Amino acid sequence: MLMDISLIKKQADNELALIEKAEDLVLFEKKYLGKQGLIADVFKGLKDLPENERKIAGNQANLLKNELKAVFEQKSKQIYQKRGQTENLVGKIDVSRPVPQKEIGYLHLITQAQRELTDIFKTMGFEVVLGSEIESDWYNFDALNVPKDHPARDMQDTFWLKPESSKMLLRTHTSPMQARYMETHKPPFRIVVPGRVFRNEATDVKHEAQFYQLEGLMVDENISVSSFKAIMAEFLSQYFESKVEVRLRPGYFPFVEPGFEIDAKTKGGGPARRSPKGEGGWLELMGAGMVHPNVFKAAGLQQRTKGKVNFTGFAFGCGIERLAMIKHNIPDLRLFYQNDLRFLKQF
Amino acid sequence: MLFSYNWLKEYLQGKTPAAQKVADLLCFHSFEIEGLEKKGNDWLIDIDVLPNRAHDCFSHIGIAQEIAILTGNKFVIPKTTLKIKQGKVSDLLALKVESKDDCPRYTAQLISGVKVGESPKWLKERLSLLGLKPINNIVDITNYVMLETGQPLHAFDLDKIKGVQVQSSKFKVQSERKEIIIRRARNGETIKTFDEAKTEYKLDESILVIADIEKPIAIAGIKGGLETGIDKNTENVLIEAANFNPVLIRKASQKLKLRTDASNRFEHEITPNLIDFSQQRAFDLIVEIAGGVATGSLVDFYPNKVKERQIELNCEYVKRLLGLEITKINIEQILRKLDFSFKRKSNHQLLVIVPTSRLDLQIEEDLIEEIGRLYGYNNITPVFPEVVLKPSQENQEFIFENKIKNLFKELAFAEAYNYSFTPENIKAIFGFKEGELIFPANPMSTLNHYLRPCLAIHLIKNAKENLRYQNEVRIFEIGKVFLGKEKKSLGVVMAKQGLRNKEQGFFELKSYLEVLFNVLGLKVNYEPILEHNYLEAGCSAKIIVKQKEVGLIGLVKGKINQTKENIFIAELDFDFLQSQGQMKKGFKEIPQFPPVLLDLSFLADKSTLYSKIEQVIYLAKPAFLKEIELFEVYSGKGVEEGKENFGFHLTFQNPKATLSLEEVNKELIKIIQNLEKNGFIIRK
Repeated sequence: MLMDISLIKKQADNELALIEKAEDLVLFEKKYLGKQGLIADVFKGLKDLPENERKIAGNQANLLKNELKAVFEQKSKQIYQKRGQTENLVGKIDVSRPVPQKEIGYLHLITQAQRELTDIFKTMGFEVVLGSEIESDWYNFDALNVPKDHPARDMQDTFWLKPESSKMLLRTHTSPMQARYMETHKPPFRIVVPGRVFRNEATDVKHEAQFYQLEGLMVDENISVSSFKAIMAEFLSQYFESKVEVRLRPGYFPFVEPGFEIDAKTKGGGPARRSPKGEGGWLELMGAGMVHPNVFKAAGLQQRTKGKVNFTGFAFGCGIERLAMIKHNIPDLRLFYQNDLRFLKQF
Repeated sequence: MLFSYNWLKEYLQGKTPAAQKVADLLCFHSFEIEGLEKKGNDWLIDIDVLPNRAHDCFSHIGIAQEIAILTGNKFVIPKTTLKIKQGKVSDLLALKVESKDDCPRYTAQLISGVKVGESPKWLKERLSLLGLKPINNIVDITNYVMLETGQPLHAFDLDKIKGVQVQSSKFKVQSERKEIIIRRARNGETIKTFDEAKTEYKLDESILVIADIEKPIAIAGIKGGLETGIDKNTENVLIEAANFNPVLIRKASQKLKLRTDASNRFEHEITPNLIDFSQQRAFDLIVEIAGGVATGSLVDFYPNKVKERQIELNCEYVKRLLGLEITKINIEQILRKLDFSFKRKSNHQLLVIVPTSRLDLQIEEDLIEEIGRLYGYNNITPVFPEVVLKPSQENQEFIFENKIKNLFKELAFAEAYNYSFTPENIKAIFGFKEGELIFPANPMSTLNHYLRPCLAIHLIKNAKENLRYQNEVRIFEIGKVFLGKEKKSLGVVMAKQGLRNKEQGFFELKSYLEVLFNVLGLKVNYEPILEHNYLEAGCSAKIIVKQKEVGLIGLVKGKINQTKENIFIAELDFDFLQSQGQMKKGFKEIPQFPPVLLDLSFLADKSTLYSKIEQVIYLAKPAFLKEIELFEVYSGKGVEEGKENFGFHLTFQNPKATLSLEEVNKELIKIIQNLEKNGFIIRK
C-alpha cells in the first residue's frame, strides 16, 4: 500500500511536469483527483488493511492528496496565467445548462403587415395617407357615389353615431380618404390609406365588427385595367414572397366603374395552398375598380374637358388581417384582437 | 338568389352547356356563384346577382339572357297565345293614382270565372325548388311570373274590393264599379297581410298603399292584404302589375320590418316596361290553368313612358380605360351580342341604344364595363403604367407613430390591438360622465356599447388575462380613443407575478416613460393624484408637460383589478406627444475636463416631494451643476421622527476648464443656503 502511494506520487509528478495544455490538466485532475481517480481508489483500499497499517497508510494517502492538489493548482495557475486567464474555469461551468431567454419586444402583426404593405407601395411611389375613424355620411357614402336611400348603403352595415341627426358614423371603409385627398390635391396621385374600419355584423372566424383595410388609389393620364393588374400582381408577389397571378371578375362597388373582385394564385400554390377554401388554387382577396366619374366630380376634379378625358384611375381596398392570415396561416380573425401574449410573441 | 337550370334552359335554343360550365361562365363574366347543387334531374344554382344588375337579373329570363350572351345560344321568350286587349279605362274599374312619382305605372287586368284550386305538379315543384310555398293556382302563377320575369304581381279577389254602385253597368256579375286608389296610407290606418301569421301592420303617411273606397287592401309593392286575398271560393280576380318608387318601397319595408320577394325587386328598381310581358304571361297561365275569361281590357296608368337611353361610346376611350388593343369591330360585335343597337357617329364614336331593362347602364364607363367583362378581363395583359417618376411624400404622422412603436418594442413591450368598443358598464365602473362618451345608435350589444374613452380599460383586461400564463406582462397600444372627440392615445401596462412592492412597480413603469420623454425631449412633471376612479390614490400621478395634463400613471385600483397581482398603467395624449415632441438628434461635445463629484445629505419633512427639493437646488442657480442624482432616502434609526434623510450625488463640470475645489464649494454653498432657507437641515 505504501509502495503504491509513493508510486502514484512519482508517476503523478512526472505526468504533471509534462503537461502544457489545459485539456490535459482536466484529464490529469480526473485521473488522480477525481471521484473515481487513483487517490480515491487508495482511500477505498484502506478498509482492507489491518488497523495499524490502515492508520499509517491513511496519513500517507492524505498527504499525497494534499500535495497533489497543491502542485496541481500551482501548475494550473502557471498554465492559465500563460494563457492570460486568472482562473481555471474549465469543467467548472456547465455550459449546456438551460437559461431563461432575455425579453424582447414585439410589434403586433397588424402593424407589421401595415408596414410591409405600405413599404411595397412606397417603392412604387405611393404616398401614405391616414384618416379619421369617425366620418360623415357625405365622405363615407355620398362622395363615393352611394346616394341616400340606395340599396348599396346596406352592403356595409353601418354604425351610426348618436345623435343620429349628426349624420356621423364609424367609417365602413377607408375609401372616404379617396374623396378627402382628391379634394385637396390635383392629379396625378398615388396613395395608400391603412386604417381601422367598422361593420355592424356578427363576428366569427372570418368577420369582426372592426378590421383594418388598406385603400389604394392611383390616378394619372393613362391608368387602365391593364396597369391595375400589373400593380396588383407586383404588390401581392412582394407581400407573399412568391410570384402571384391576379384574376379579375366582375364586381360592383358604387365608387368604381368597371368594378372587380380580385382573386390571386401563386405559382407554388402560395396563398391558396394556405387557404382552406381556395378554389382551384384561386383565392378571393379584395374589391377594386376604375374610379367612377361621379367620385372625381364629387371631389371637385374635372375629369373631362370638352369630352376629352384628362385622367383615369383605379382604386382598391383589401383587408389587412385577411392578407396576414393567408400569409401566416392564421385560422381565426379574432386572435388579432385578443392580445394573448402567446399569440403576439409568435410574430 | 336561387335559379333552376332546367327552367333557364327553356329560354335557350340549341344545346346548352352543362350546369357547371354555365356557372363558370357566369362567374367570370357576370356574377359570383354561391352554390351549385344537384336536385333530382335539375340543378339549383345560387347566383349572387350584383346589386346593380338586380334591375334585370332578379329573374330567370334575365339570367337566361345573360347566359345566351356568354354561350352563344339564342335567347327565346315564351310565346303568349291569348292577347290582352289594350285600353286605358274601364267601366268596371276606376283607377286613381295620387302621385305618379310614387307609382309611375299601374296596370290591372280583371279575369272572371276562375276556378281556384291546387296548382299543377310542375308549377308546385318549380316554386318549391326555389323556396316558395305553393298556395293556390292563382297566387302560384303570380309568384311564378315574378320568378320568371322579375316583375312582382298581385292577385286580388275582385268581389272583396269595395266599389260604388253604378246605374248603367255593362258588367253582368257586378252591379258596382270597383275603385282602386294608389295613395299614401293615413296615419293610424292598419292592415292585416295575406300570410299565415295574419300580421297586422300599423301604417302611416310614409307608406304607399293600394286601397279601395274604404281602406287599404295591400301595402304597395310589399304585401297584399288578408281581406282581399284569393281563397278557394274566389271567382273573379284582379291581377295587378305595377311599378313603384324604389326608395319609397325600401323605406316602408325597413319601417315595417317586412321584406318580401316583391319588395326586394322593387327597391332595386325595375323598369315599368317589364309589366307588358308579365301581365300578358300571367293572363295566359291563369286562363290555361284556372280557366276564366278577361273582363274588359287592361287598365293601364302610365303617364310617362320610359324610353330607351342613348349613350355615346368612344372606341379609343374603351381601349384607354381597359388598357386593351380592342378593335372597333370587336366592340361592335359585343354590343350586338348584348342586343344593343347602335349608330356610327364618326370614326371612333358610336351612339349606343340601351334597352330600358338595363337601368344600370347610365354612362360611357358602364358600357366599357360591359365590353371588358364580355371580352374577358383575363384577356387583358398586365402592363405597368408609364408615369412621372416622383418619389412619394412621407407621412409624418405615420412615421412618428411607427417610431414610438419601435421604441416600446426596444423596451421589450408587446404591442396590442384592442377593440374600439367597450361594455356599457364602464361608464359607472370607470366613472365617465354622460355626454363625453360616444356611442352608436345601433350598438351590437351591451358588451360592445361605448366607443373606448381610453385605452386603459382594455389594457387592464389584457394584463389580467395574460397573467394567467405569463410571469411578466408588458403591453402597449397606440390607437384612437373617443372622449368628447376622436383622438390618439398611447397606453402602457405592466404587471409581474409576485410584485408586491407598489413603489417599485410604480417606479419601474415610470422609468419606461422617462425613456419616452427623453427621446421626445420633453420636460415632465409628476403630480400626485389624490382621488381617481380607477387609479389608487397615493400611488398614481398626473403627468404634466408645459403646464398641461397630458396623461396619467399609476396603480390600478383593487376593485377594478380584482386579482392579487398589482397592475400598473399609464396613458398619454399621443397627439400632444406628436405635436410637442422633438425627436431631432444632434451632436453634443463630449466633455474634455473631469467632473467633480460631491455628496450632499439633508433632512426634510416626510411629506416633501422630490420635485420640490429639485426645484430648491436649481433655484439657487448653481453654476457648473451638471447633474443631481438622488441615491438614498432614509428614515428610521438616527433620523428624527417625521423626517427623511435625502442623499444626493452632485456632479459639477465646466466644459471649458478643469474645476477647482474652491470653485465647486462656492456653488455648493449657494445650494446649501437655499436649502436651509427652505427649512431643510443639512447633515455634515
